[in-house]
Amino acid sequence: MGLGGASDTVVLQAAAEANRVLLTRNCDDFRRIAHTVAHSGILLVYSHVVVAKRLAYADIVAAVKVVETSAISMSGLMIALNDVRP
Amino acid sequence: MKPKRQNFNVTPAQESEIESLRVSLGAPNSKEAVLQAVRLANNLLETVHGGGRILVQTEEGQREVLLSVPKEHWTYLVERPHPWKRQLWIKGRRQAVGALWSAIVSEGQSAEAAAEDWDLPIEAIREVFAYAERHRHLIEAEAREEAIRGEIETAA
Repeated sequence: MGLGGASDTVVLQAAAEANRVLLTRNCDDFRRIAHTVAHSGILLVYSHVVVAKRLAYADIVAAVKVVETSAISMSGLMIALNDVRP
Repeated sequence: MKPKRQNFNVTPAQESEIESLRVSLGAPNSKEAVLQAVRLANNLLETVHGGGRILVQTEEGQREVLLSVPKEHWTYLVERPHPWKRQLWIKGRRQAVGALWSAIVSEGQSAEAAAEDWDLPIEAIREVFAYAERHRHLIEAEAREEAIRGEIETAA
């Protein structure tokens, strides 16, 4: 979306305007601003200290698929993908 | 390996300091005294750079030895104001070193593959590895803090 280097609020607003769910590794910062924007959902990827809980790309894709097929409305929701198990 | 000659001038006061150090360390000559001091300094600095503290126990109790740690120089990593994170960030991006390092390690990527994947110069990736190695304790502590903050907010 050409938003490299833009502020977190701008990125979240752009995602909301495009009706897209935001996927981020910058968990704490987006958690803090989430209530300021009527967003379409945020998926968080934590940099876990425990190696087994770290997510590789394939794990992220699998977790997103689980969220997608669950058919829950992501509007205003935040989900940590590290806790989603396929 | 063929030894290389090192020449440098010292003032009489510095010469006296080196001699005093040689006597204190029981070193056979000035060269050995300087080398022992260099090894000791390197060990201490490695401890401090790794997030450790150096404490000495005296009759009055324990006190911390404060070392003057030279500022690190990074080309692709920068400080950024943050409410609680103290680790460095990727220059020009809103991404902390720890998050990028964790992503690269999770994927098992080489520096070359990571550079291509994240559209960064390979030197930037090498700095990420070097910084993560040197400040591993800080990065892990902040990853734990981030997870705890997430749990607290979820529970609230």
